Amino acid sequence: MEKTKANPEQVEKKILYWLQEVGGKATDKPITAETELLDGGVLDSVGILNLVSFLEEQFGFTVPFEEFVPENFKTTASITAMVARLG
Amino acid sequence: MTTVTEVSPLVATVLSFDPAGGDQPAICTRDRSVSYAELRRHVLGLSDWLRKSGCRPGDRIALYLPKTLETIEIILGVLAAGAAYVPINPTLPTDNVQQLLRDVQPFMLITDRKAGVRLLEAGACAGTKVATIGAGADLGLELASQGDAGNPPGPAAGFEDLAVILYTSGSTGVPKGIALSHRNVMSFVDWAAQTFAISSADQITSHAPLHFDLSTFDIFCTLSRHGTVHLIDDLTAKFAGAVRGLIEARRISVWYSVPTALMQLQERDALKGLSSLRVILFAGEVFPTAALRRVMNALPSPQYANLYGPTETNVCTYYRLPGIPAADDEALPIGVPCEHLDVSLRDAGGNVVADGAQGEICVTGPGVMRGYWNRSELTQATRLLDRDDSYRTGDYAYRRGDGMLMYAGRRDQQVKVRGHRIELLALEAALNAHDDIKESVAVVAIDAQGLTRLQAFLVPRRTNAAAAAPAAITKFLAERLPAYYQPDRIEWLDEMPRTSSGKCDRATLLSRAQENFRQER
Repeated sequence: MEKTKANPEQVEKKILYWLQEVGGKATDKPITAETELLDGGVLDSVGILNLVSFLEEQFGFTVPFEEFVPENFKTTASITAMVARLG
Repeated sequence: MTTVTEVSPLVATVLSFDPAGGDQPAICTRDRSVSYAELRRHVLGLSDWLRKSGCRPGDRIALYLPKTLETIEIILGVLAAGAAYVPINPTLPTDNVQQLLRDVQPFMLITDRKAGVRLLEAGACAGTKVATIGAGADLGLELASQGDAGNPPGPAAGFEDLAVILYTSGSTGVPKGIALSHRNVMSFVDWAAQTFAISSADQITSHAPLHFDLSTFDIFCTLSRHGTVHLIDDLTAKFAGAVRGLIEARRISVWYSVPTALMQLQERDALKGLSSLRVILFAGEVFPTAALRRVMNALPSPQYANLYGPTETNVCTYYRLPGIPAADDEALPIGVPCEHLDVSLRDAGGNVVADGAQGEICVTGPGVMRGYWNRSELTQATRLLDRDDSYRTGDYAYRRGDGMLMYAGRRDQQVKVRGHRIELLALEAALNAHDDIKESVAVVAIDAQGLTRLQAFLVPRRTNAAAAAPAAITKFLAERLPAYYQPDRIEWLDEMPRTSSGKCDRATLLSRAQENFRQER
């Protein structure tokens, strides 16, 4: 049986909510889907690990080391794309 | 132009190489590298530029820079000029930088443009020359130094002269500088190179930040043996996949880091099959045996060693693992004294304790710091009687039947979290400065994985008032303390639990924190 894919819009909303309200570092500007998360200081090393735990719990997959690279965590959009690949 | 024979001991071996080896890369980053021949040119140029700027042997040059190829070149250039480098944690807030500069009184601060402007605007550099380097690949400083061969070189530094000051936060939050001579650093470097057979064939990572003593191995052990050092930048370090990619692509042979970094690789299954690694060294905090076993099971082939020692002595004991520990509850020894040092266990009176008894780890020898910068009384308090090259660590240990030293904890309130030295009192003092906080207690607890974690308990100033969100507290702390002081968990309480004598009941809070962290996944 094929696993139901999470709706990308829903995924993006969940990630944004987590970044804005739970684990993202407060910045001057509001966090949007295009905000630079790594250069902009929203995600530090602890934040990245917490976010990955959140994603793994929410979507029931494990992020393998091949996907655990900076390119996948640049923006909410790139994280959403990774979730789509793994989900 | 400065010649190699005129430079200081720590740099001389780096710059003296077989001409045929000049093309070999000395330092590599993610996308750039510098050969030994280029490195020599850059370092001698920098040294000339510094001397022309008025820098004299014994001067300090503060570096407020990220760990880049240029920063390593500047370190070597500073040393070649006979001066000492003072690496400042690049995540340190402006106030702390100012405090540190006041303490170290550097001849010059070298930083990048952005940070330079920020510090100057805040008036943090009063009395200090500031040199900034550009963002591009070319080193502005080096360009300024070209030409003029007629400059008479000043005398190079000798073995006993100051090479580096490494700052840790002191008990009152005032920074404490650990002053190391060329001999201090070289005695460790020579020991490490011999013990782990470092050669020009080695590809060695630099994982630790430059203000950590671990970095002296990465830089000086690698470059003095003409191997290649591969700098792991902040971004790469955060991602197990990127770190693994670097180890594979560069055929890394020697790795040295805090245990956490290895555990993070193992947790992502990123260690399997890394065949180029021959030596894995770890230091800075206790490696939980269960986690070490997982790491060694994932990658059994390299030689593993546990290195122990405070910054004041650098590594003073070491333990080569004879194999994967048999059980998770097996305590990991700190091992035997390094061959260049004398290590003894002593009681409060300074007498060596009976074999098997617990005593304070005391170290004597050429690796022991010159002293704390500008703190001669504090320095004297850490010495054994009549020995200027001794250090009482404040750590306790006992000798097991087989001769292995076993770590038994610290004397005071200093703790280590993720390899960083933290003073709980300094954290509480900062928290108590927040308007919404009446009282705070910080504790360290061990989580389910055996890692040391930091929790802050807070009591609001106004009952029923909405307390500040954790993010606001985090921001508040970030302006006052280094990033590693951030608690892993913040919890608001209506009031602190008290003992019968009315004191804050830290034991209850500790077990509560312990419980919190153990319940984490």
